[in-house]
Formats: sequence, C-alpha cells, structure tokens
Amino acid sequence: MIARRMMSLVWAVALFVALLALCGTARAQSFSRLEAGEQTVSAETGLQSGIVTSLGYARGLRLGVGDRTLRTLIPFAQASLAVAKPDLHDYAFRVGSQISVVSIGWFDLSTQVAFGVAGTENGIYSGTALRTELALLAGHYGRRWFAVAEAGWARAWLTYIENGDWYRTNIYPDARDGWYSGTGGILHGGAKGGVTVGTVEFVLRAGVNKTETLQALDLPFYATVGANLRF
Amino acid sequence: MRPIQTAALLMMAAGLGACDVHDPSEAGNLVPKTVDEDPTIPSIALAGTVFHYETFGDPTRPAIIFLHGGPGRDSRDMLLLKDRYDGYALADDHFVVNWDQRGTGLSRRHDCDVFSLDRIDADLDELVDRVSPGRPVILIGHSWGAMYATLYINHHPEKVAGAVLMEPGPLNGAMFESIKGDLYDMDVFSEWLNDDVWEGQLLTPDDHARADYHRLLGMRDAQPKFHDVNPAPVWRLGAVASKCVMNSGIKDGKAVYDFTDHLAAYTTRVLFIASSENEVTGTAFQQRQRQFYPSADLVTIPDSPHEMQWSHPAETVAAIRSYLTEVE
Repeated sequence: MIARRMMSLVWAVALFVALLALCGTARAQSFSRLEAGEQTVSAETGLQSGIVTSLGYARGLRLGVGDRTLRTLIPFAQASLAVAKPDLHDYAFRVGSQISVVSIGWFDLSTQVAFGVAGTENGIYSGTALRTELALLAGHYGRRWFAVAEAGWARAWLTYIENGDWYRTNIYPDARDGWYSGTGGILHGGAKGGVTVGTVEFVLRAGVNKTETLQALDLPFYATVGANLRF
Repeated sequence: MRPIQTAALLMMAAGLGACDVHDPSEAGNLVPKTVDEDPTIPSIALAGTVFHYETFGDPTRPAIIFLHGGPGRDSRDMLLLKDRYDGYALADDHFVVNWDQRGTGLSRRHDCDVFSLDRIDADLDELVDRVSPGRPVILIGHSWGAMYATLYINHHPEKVAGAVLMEPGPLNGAMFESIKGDLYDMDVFSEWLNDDVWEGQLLTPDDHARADYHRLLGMRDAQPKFHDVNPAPVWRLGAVASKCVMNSGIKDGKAVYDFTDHLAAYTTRVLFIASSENEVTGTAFQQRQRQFYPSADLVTIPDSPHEMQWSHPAETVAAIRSYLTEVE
C-alpha cells in the first residue's frame, strides 16, 4: 500500500515537471469532486492571468452524524507562479474548501470558498494582496467524466503596495506606499470538464474574465489544461 | 466570549485602526491629482472640459502649440523643447503652449464615449482660437501628437502656419496596417506582458486612478523596436483616453482612419524629424509618410531613439529653429 502511494506521488511529480517543460501553468481549481477519503495532487497549465503554473492538493473529508454521511467537504491548497520568465515574485497561494450544496439526481451544485495571498513585482511597484475567492460549480460528476459550468468572484481586499524607484524617480515622487483597500476584483464565468483514465483525471477549463465593475481586462479569457492524480 | 478571544479581537481592531489604509481610487495616492482635484495646477477650461496647460513666452508672439505623444501620454515628454540650447529657446520669439490632451496627463478625466476623432479635432480647434485668435499657429507634434497635427491640418489648413512632425505614427489606416505587427512586443512569454496580466490578481482597472496606474506597466518595455531605453517621463498616463482615441479610428479590427485625404490643399512646407534607431516608424517609414504632403522635408537625428525630443532635445530644437527661420 505504501509502495503504491509512493508510486502515485512519483507519478504526480513527474507529471508536474512534464507540464512545466511543456509550457508554464495556470492557476485554478482543476480537480472535480472527491469522495471521502480520496486525495489528489493536481497540476495545471495554461493562460489565466498570464502563463501560470499551479500545483495543488485536495482531499475528501466526510461530514456526517454517526454512520450517516451528510456531505463531503473537500479542503484544498494551491500554489501558483507566473512562469513566462521565472520570477518568484509573481505568485499566489490559497487554501479553501469545496462542498456540494445541492445534489438532485445527476445534477450537482457545489460552492468553493478560498482565502489567499498573491504577490507581484513589476517595473512600477511590488505588492502583496490578501484575497478571497468564491465560486459556484453546477453540472454533473460521473464515474469517468464530469462537466460543470463555473462562475466566480475573486477580490483583493487589502493590498500592500510599495512603489518602485523608477516610478518615484521618473513619474510620481509622492506616490504613497502602504496598505490599500479593495484594489481589485475579477468575475469569471466558463466551463470545465474532464475524463478519468486509471487514477489520473485530465481536466480542461475555459471561460471569460471581467473586472468586478465589468471593465475589460487585458487578458479577457482563461484556458487551462490540468491533470489530477488520485490516490 | 472568553477573555483570550476578546483580547485577540480587540488587538486586531486596534491594529487595523492604527493602520493607515489608502483608497486606490483616490488621486494623489498611487497617481497624481488632476486639475479637478488640485486647483493649483495651471489649467484652461474650454471645449467642455479642463486641460492642464502651461505657456512660455510673450503671448503677442506667433503661437507654437506642442502636441504630445500617445494617445494617452502627456505634455511632460515635450518639456525639454522649451529649454535653451546654444543660446536659443523657442519662447524667445514665440508664445509656446504645452498642454495635456483631453483625458490624459493632469487634465480632467472622461468616460470612453466622450472620445472621438471629431471631438479631439474640436478640442485643438478651440485651443487654437483661444491662444491665437485670427492668426495661424505652428504645430509641433511627436508620434501620436504629429498624427494629431496632421488630423488638424487635414481639416483646418488655413489655421496652421507650419508644422514640425516628429516621427508621426501611421497617418492613415493603410500605413497602420503595414506596421501594426511591429508596434508592440506581444510575445506571450515576455515579462512585461505577463506582469501586465498577472497584475489582475492584485489590482484591476475599475476607475481612472487604477486604470492609469496599471497602464504604466507597458510603458518601458512594450515597444522595444522603438529603442526608447530611458523613456520620457509623464505626469500621469490617460488609460481611457489612450484606448478610446485609438478605438475611434478602428472598425471591425481594422484601422479605417485617414488623416491625409485633404492634405493636397496644404502647400506650406512641413518638417518631418525622424530618429536613426527606431526600426518601425523611423527614417524609412517617414520617407513614405512625407509623400502625403505636397511639400515636406525630412531630417534624421543621428543616434536617436523614437523619443528624440527627450533624448536629443538640443539637436531637435536646432532642426526646428532652422525650419521656423525658413517658413516664417
């Protein structure tokens, strides 16, 4: 059993490295749904706020009374890096949980809530944001495949901004460093689906982004491919 | 509530209270204030808006109006042209007007639907009438500003006594289409582009202050073929003005504007100034563009990038002075 799990982990790492070599990777919640006791390591790549690489972990936890299972809670953690040019300053990390709130026949409605931190360092400033993400996922989860529509809202509630030397010297010497409230928010809507082959689930996600006041973003869509290794 | 929980909550509240949290949408924090927030900024009200506006020299002299680049940059990148070089300044014998165009620099901000080519033509026309009533002006424009000058000459040739066009961008849609692939570095692996889109994780362009701040991300690296290693500074970019003025000349993804269709009526000689290093809109491109004018000279500033008015102001002013001596 231990050897099997070790092999699974080796597979997961190998898959992640292969995806890195192919491109960069994308930040997102790519796993489908886990049963109580299941775990998954996920890797995802594509375009989402740039070319980003994500590695995540999730597991299914039984919520119940006595022997009766009421819900399966899926806590997860995910780390992401923008990797167009290797840069440890453009990162995001989040922890959260997914839970099914309505399940009628083949239809399932789940919600995902996450808290996280994101950072950047660019030619103008460096920043660190404290964020929340809320998403709804509606669709079908089968044994071998799943397909859901997704909609979400991510918001940077509090961001520490330190303006760079170039900006101060050449543009605005009086720019204020410090904590800023409500610096950004993004709405997204799209779909994701996947198929399971053995213990690996392959996932595609795609959709559109706008700011929370419906302004256009420079990258108005996202499209990612991911793989989850279940064990 | 247990005492320890109460203490933790009180400490958290005290910490947040002591923390000075800024509003990213408020001008003066991340970006400078405009004429609307700071009444000490020199300004002029006309055409239904308020412009950041400065003048140099005697107002009874012939007027020179500077037209900065962009769209969406501002008058700061023209400032060195007012200085004295080899004992001469343009303001010695002219009334020099330097202003931030509608919606950019420190001028008043507007929503996108306000911007059109007709609107900005009317802006300049009202400015000309205000600073030089009944007397033609000299226009000196750089990049987009030289396109703007041509747009104006195309409609009002009788109001322009001469023009210096410093490396204008494409003067019509066909010229634009011929170089559009070279204007920006759109390599998906480029650092500037990924910084630009990654920033959405922290800051989104939901109001003018945040949009203008965000717009700065491409300022240094987005156009490497222009060779502006140390780009001219700005007061504050105008993100909405930049996007919406550009979009006003584009239909179904194709540039359809034409600033040249009546230039045949303008027989006064104009001066094109080009840089030697710009690979996109440099000397070769301006050789083609000068053909739109019945009479045009072209001067190249040696070893200069696209923003020659900032990197080589003395050489640029010398070329302008020589031209003015001949046409006035």
